[in-house]
Amino acid sequence: MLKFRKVLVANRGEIAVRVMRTLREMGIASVAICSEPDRTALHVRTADEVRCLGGAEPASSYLDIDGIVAACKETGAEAVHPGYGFLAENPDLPRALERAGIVFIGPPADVLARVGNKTTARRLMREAGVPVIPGMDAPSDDIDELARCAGEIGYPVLIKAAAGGGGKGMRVVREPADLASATHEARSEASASFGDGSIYLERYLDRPRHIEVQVLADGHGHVVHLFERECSLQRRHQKIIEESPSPAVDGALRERMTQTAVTAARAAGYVNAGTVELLLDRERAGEFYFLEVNARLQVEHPVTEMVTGLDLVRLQVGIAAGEPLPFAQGQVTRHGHAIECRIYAEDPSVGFAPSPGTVLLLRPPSGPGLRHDEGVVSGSEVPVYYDPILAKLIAWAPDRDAAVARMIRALGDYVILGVRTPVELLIHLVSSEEFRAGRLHTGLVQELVQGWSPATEADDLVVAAVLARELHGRREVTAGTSGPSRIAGWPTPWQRLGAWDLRGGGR
Amino acid sequence: MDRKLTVDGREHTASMSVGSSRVTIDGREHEIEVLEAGAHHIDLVFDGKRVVVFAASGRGRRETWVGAGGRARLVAEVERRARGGGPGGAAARLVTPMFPAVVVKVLVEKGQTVARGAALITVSAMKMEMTLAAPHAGVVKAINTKEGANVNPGDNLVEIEEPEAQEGSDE
Repeated sequence: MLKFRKVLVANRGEIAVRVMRTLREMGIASVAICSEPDRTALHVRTADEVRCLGGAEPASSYLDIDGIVAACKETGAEAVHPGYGFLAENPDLPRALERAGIVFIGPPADVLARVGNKTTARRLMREAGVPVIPGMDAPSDDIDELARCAGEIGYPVLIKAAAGGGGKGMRVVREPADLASATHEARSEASASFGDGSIYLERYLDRPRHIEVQVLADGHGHVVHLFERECSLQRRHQKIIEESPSPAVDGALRERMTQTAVTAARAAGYVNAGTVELLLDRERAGEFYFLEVNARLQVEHPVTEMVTGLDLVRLQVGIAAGEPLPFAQGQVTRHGHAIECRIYAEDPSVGFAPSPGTVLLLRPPSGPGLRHDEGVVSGSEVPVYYDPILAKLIAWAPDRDAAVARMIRALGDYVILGVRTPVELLIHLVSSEEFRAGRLHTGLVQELVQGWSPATEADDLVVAAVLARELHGRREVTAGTSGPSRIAGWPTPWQRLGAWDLRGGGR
Repeated sequence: MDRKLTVDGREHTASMSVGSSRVTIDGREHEIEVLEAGAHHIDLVFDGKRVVVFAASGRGRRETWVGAGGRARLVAEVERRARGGGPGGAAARLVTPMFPAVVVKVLVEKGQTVARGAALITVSAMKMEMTLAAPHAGVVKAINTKEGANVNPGDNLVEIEEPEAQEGSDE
């Protein structure tokens, strides 16, 4: 069995920071990689060492396999954790690492190739008796063939990137006339995100519930599940709120879903941490379909960690080192309820448009049962080149109602200034009657966003606060005195107020 | 002195003077008392209610971000020269991204005739792609960017000359 002393984390942002935190707890040194604009990013500061691989474009940095292998050799890193996104599910990375004698903390290359390609995975699962959504079993570039398949499946159809994940390269097509343009967009987005533009079609289920099962498999044939997560709340096909357990799943359904996931993992010959995504049909009670295997650590893994008390990154490292799973299925327990909200750099009031810029102030909430996984701090730049995820807020409580109340409280305490984020919308979503009642589906965010706009009633307070801040800045500068004097209702003075003058343009 | 400020684009007229505990906003009077302040917060009583407001200014910019209760607002000074550029003005006819982005592909060439709504340029930010369309029919007069370039809201990426006969016809 191996014992790692140094691990390279081939990612950026919150997931790189999260992985490095566990590595430090395990006494393992971490190596960051970065691009030029990320030289001072939080993940670089969190690591023990850094190798800057190249320019802003992911292809010359976070997707540069040769650069990563070279960085491992230079620093003496014995293993690579890929995080999620970037190269996490690209079999070329573990292949290149293996040739260099470096361990990949994730599934073997052949497993990634099998399950990472969605159409191959669909065939594999059908053969194993796992229910799949009607659709194509092979990707196609031919618009005529796509049109014929769409016609057979019946509109609306969903275009998906065969290499995809995270909603990238996905388009719903409701009418044959829209197929060509949607195909072009999906292919171009898939190509930009995954370096592979191949796409396929499947039936578009109307507002299903998205429920997934976390699995863990070691290299000794043991496969266990860590229960389910519900991730039905999505915008632009990307998850925004996740929770565990699912309010839609009772004991009997949980048994069926988790057994299906274990069957799927075994069929794929899976090793390491993975997720079997399922769609629960709202039309037919208890019917669910295999969606895909996510052969990586998921963004939303913290809700599973909160309810099981396990550290998935620690377990991933152990499995990659050749250790057997330290527990059997019967020893995995679940306690309470956890909800995660993703804090993206985007503006929900204008169609979730990206909002790159500078995080001027970040002050996450604290208190019992809260966890904050962040990739930025006050002063961090948010570049246009990468995923918009800045941080994740996770609330745990003994039951769902208490977790909802805790999340609403925590979001109200969340301060992030300088870039737009969905915090205010998240309060609206989590407070909604539908969310509180657990009536979730993949179209719910869109429904709840319609008719929502940021509140305007606090404008007077906002304006007053800015004027007060400005006047005090000037007052402090002109008075220049100290001591707790109080003039005309204004306690004064305070410390140097720096860039407070709104009109003066700061320092 | 009256000040014109926008809160996320909504314009307000406000006045307050040094030494006063009264602020007037769009004619509404409010009582304000600052209890304590730090580099990034003000602890204040506003109309009898205590509230902590967080604030941060971008370096060298005439704008301040304000946060309270899970909400964040961008407050900006209304600049005199910027007034009057409402919908239908020059800004509405720009081919410009709605967020800072990188140019992925230029889809037209100089001299090409384009219809209103024709795809001109694809930009990408944070892996989300957006195609900018022609605001009116005409001939491409100039392309002011290239693939791989960083572009910002307000940049006019493609200039389209309007044929005289079409003037005003698609307004």
